[in-house]
Amino acid sequence: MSSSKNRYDRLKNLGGGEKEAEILSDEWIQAPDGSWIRSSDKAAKKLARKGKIAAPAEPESAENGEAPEPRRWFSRKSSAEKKREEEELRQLEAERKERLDKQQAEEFERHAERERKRKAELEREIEQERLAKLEKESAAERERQAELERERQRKADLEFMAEVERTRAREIEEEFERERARVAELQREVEQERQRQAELARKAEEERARQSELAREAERERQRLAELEREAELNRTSSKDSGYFRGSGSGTSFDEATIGNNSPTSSGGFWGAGTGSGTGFADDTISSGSSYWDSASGSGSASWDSGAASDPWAASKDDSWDSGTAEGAGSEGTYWRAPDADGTLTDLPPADTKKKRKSKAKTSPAPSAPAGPSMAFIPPRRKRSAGERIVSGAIATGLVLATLAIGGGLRWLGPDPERVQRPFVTSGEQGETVSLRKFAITVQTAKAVSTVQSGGSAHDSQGVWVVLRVRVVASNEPGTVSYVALRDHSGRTFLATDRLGQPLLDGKRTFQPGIPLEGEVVFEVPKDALGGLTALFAPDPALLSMEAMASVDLPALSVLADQSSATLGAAEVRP
Amino acid sequence: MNQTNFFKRNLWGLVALLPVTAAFGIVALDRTGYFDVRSPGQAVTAEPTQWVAYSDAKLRLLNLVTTADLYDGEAKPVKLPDQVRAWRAVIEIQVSDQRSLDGCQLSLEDSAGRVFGTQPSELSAVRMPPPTCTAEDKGLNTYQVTVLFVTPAEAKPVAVRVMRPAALPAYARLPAA
Repeated sequence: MSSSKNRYDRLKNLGGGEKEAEILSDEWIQAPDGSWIRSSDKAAKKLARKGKIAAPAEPESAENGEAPEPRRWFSRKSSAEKKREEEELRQLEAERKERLDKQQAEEFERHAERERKRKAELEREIEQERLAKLEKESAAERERQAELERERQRKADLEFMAEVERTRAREIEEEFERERARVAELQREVEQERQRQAELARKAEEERARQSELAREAERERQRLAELEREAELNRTSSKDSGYFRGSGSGTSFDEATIGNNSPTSSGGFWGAGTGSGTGFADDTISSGSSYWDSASGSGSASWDSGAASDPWAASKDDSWDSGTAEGAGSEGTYWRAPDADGTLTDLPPADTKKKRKSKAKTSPAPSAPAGPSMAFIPPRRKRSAGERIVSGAIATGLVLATLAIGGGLRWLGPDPERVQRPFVTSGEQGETVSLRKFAITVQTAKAVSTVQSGGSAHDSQGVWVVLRVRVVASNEPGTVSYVALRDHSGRTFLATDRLGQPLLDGKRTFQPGIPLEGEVVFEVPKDALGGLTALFAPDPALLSMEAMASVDLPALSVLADQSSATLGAAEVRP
Repeated sequence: MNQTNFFKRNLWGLVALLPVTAAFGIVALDRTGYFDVRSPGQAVTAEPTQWVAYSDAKLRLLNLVTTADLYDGEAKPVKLPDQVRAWRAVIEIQVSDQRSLDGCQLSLEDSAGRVFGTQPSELSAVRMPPPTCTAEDKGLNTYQVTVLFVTPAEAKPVAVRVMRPAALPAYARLPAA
């Protein structure tokens, strides 16, 4: 049942049709003259009565046979009508209320349904959020577990590294300890060495002091001997007869069997050191010069007797020296004997007898500094005369000069290093392939031009450009051809020009084995160098010595009128 | 005066004579080129694709093939002459410290015994990394390096050589499969 939207409709539906019919019956009708009038007008009624127009239809009083309502005035209602209207209004109100209730119930039900749906939606969203949250928490937990795992792994690594570091530290500590012990050992050794050096220095000092003491005593002894000799000489001059002289005083005795006996065959003449407390000297022939020192005790001719504490040679009794003649008295071959460890006398090389004799005439050949048992006795160095020193210096200088002369001569006679270390040149002609150890090269063409086109610009020259087209292929390993030069007939050498970029042999290009490359090489030479040019190629300009070099003789070149310019092309691989 | 005394007296002179003699000997050897850089002469090799231990590292040749994928700096293809063929070698390296392979040199050996170097002038226009035995990330312990070579068209490469001056005369020879 459709409900009316306004009160008029509802009243019409509720039975207000009578009034409406009445109102509607007052309709417009057309008069015979064509005008329109209301059917309720008097004119209309009059015309209807006259039959000029159709009488308006009378409204039916009642369909259900009810009595028509009494006529009433306009806008006046009877009480019954008012009651009926009130009743109708109440009914309408009740119906309206019922509809409203029903609508409210429906609305409430729809609202409840929406609320349920919304609640379900909310629950679903909450569930999804909860699930998402759980998922997120689970992921976070997994991440945390992974992080913990990584942390454990990192901790294990760190512990391992720490263990390694501890081990290394222990090793370093042990090494340091060993090093410290070694340093301490070295310090101890150094200290011992220092003590030993100090001991040696002290011994050396004592030895020097002892030697100086001995030297002084020997000097005193020589002076005393000289004194005795002078006394003997005085005695000899005072008495022509043979006799002997016995020294006295200070415990030293001297026997001269044949003082003044100049017989070279006499074996009885000697200076004898007595067996007393002194030092004995024997000189069988003092005046003859064939003298000797004999320390062999009891030899009959002379002896150093070590029996006395005051004997200056007491400390060196094992270092006895014996001088004598190799072929008897009077011989020129004076020798020295040095005792071995077992006391055997060993002959030393003979010295210059004349010098010895000369020195004997001055002083006795007494050792100036006898050494101890472990030290060799060094005979006193004879002071050389000025002439001897000059001669010796001249000889030494001459030897040095001779050595230098021999060296210079050998150098002059020897081979020339430049010639020996010259490059190993392999020669060829233009168009011929010259194979070296590292590469093979072929000079295909050669021409002389006055202008070279390179890189879009022309290059002039005060001389002449020489352009060679060459083909290069490496042999067995990658290599370069860095030395490229022209040599003219007068020996002048011209390197490849650097005024423009060399397309092929720029020193930087590496040639691979078996891949031939062709290109131009440009030189700038004087005009007078065009005849008899030779092209030289080598791997490295810094190592030309004893290195392979290709030499290609070029034909005589000249600048042709129709070929006064050349254009450089790029290097290219050619089969 | 005997011999013992001579040696005792001149002991320090004789001792000093030894380093002088050694110095003269070293100079003489140097003049003969004895101390010059030696050339590789002792190959360390293995079966193809197997590891070769060399200079505190392990190396093996993974791949050695001809290639035409050559591009210049503007990503334009580079065309080689017909007489030349380009080869690409891929070497895998295992090393604990990449410094043990510093300064290594790579080369390609063909069946005729010829040796071809890296960075040939024929590939000067090709954009390629410098040939080396180390990786850009110095912390890597296992990595691969790629090297380009050129040979004549008829050449048949048989191995890649890895040489380090500090390890001479030994060099690694990585045979191709």
